[in-house]
Amino acid sequence: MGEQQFFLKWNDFQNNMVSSFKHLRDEKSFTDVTLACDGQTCKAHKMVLSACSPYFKTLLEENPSKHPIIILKDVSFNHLQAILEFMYAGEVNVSQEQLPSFLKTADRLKVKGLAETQSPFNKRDG
Amino acid sequence: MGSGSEINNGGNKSGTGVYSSDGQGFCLRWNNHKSNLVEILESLIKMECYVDCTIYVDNHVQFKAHRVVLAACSPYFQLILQDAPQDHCSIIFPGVQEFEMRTLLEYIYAGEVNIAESQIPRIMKIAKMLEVKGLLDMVDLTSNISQQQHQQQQQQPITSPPSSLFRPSSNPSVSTEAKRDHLTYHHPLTHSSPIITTSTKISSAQSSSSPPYPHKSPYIASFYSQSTNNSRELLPGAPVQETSEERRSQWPPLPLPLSRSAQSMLSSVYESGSDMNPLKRKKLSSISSMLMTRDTPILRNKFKDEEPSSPFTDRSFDDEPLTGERRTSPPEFLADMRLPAAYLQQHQLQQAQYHQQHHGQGGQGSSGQKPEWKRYKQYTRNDIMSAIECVRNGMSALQASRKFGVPSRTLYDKVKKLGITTGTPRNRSSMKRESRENSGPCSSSAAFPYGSLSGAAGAFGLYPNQDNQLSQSQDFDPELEEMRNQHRANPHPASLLDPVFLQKALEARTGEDFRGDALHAMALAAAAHAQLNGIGQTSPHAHGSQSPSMLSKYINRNLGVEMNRERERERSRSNGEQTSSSIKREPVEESDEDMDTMSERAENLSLSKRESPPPVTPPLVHTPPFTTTANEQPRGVIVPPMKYSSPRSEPSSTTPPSIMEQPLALDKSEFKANLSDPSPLALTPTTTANYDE
Repeated sequence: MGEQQFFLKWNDFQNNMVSSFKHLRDEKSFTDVTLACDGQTCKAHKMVLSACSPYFKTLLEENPSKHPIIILKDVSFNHLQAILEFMYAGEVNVSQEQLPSFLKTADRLKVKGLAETQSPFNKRDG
Repeated sequence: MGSGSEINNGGNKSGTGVYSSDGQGFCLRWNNHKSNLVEILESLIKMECYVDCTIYVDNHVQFKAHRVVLAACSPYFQLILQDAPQDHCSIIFPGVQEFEMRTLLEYIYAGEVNIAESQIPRIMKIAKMLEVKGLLDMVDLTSNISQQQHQQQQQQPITSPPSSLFRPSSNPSVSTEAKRDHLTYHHPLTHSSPIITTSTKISSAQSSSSPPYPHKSPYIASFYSQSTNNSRELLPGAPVQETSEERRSQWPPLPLPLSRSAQSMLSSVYESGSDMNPLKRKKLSSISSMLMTRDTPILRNKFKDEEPSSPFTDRSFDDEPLTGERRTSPPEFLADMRLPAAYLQQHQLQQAQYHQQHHGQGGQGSSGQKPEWKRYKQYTRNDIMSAIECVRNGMSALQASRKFGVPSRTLYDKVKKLGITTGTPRNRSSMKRESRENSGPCSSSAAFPYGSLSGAAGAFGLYPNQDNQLSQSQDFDPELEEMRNQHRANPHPASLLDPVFLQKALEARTGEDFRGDALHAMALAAAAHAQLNGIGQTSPHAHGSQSPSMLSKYINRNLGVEMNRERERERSRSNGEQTSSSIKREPVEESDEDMDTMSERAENLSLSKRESPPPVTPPLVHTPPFTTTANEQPRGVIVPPMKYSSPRSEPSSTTPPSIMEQPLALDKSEFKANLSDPSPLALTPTTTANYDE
């Protein structure tokens, strides 16, 4: 009687997404936003940025453009790259001395997963 | 054919097209091209016409702009925009306020902008982030100066290519420091003049890949000068510069005898590949003329030896060493020097022009009717020594000078310095020159008459620039010692040439055994002059040959020794004298006699003009408003420019230094067209088409 529903699950979905995005980013394929700071630029995908950061989401929503260039103030390029790495791969290596400033930057950019961790981290530290 | 007034003339004659061998090519030049371009861009942006880029800042404010313009004014934008292929691209600046972006855009499009003092730090920060040309230099070089001056002293400024030296981005430590400076904003202000100097360097380095932007640095100056509390003196001065600049850049060229050679010199500078911007040129000229005002008799002799009709000789050499050295000197050095030097230079410029115009055809003021370079008698060191000996033995200075063919004034001067009394009444010029040469001990007080003069005149806009107040400062320091030791150990022409150094050295010692040091410094000065000329002589087109020749070294050493001896004698003579009184007396006399000695000064200046590269213009070098006094009042340096209206009756928003940009730009192109030999396109300067009006 009832139609049987089949549950299709791609077991490797997340890994595939992560690697695909990473690949797309490395290839600069379909990049549609340029991030600039410290006199350097890097390209990214609006979708990823928006998904990982409400800050970027708002920014990109408010300024709709085919390929906007976002110039970030007071962000070091190293941190930006690390944050992008984190956004695309979900993990990143940051040296200890860089960590506080990195987290601060991430907090400013409201990077999901990093922005929230700052306060607990600081509490623990303090 | 002679006139070559028809455009197809050359082609018809020889069949080789416009570039025929009979030289009938034509250069069509649009004199107002640059200004036109700028104006059009401004109007286009006002109408938002052809804009291809939108800049979003906070609060949903957006600005439209032209990518080309942004890229032209900022390497950063250039980088960003070059791979933004869209028809219309958007640039989002989170965290940037509307007024900041508006200010920067206005600056980018108009080359100048008025801002409130409180906004400056923020604007500069963003300007730095965006690498806006001009403003960026401003920030970076502040740290460069302090960092590199030390290195440069050891590096032999002449031999090191300036562009590589002052590439700000090449040195990571520098850039970080720049960042810091930029945050603590007043720091840059205290370094004003070297900053500017360096800034020109930086910009030339940067523009190696892109066309030079001659307005760049002047804008910096204007930018800050607007905001100087001290701009009272500055601003009156700037218009003066501007007018002279303007005069120089008019077409047809000045009727002044020198303008032609000055142009050729200039163009040689241009063609040598160095993209001098106006600032640098002006600085060079000022330095050169400054030096020349300290011309010594011996120096003149050297001048005479040179090929007089070839202005290229010293000229080409002057710029690099001088600027190089100039850059190395710590800011404070400049400050003390500024007043007298700037004043003299300015003064002499005017006098020289007056002199040339009014005495040029008629009788020469003091030295007959020969061209300047002929007026200097040719004599040797032996001559002057013999003449001195004769005077010592009782002959009158006039007679001795005739007998040995030595300029009498020179002889007076020397004799007086040696402490020999002559029957001949002291001649004014000798006193004048002495005061200048001896300005060692009296330099600080020498500034005094000018300072007081400026008190009267400066208020009315007569003062050439703002630097007078700087002259009073006498901060002395180990840096100087170090520098001097360096100079002593290794008398390098360029380093010796730095009048600032000398002046500083002299002033530094006023408290202590200033005589001894003054003597030494004077010897250095003489040596420097000699060296300058020696260099110019031995390597006439020595743009490339950058090390002092053996001859010049020899001269340097010899003269130094000689001068030292003389000063030694003088010292022993004047031991009993009340020094302070003698110090003050002479400068005062000099200022009193300004009018009388005008022609003499003009003579000096004309020499310096031939020597110095740019059309002599009292440069921005002197104008940087925020130097020593900024120490006392770092923030107060910046004041709105509106209250100082330029004499050119421009809208008050235009500040003097930037006004000069336009004429200068024209200037440059004129020179190119005028000596267009290397370019087949412009073979006949006389037929240069002028679509000006």
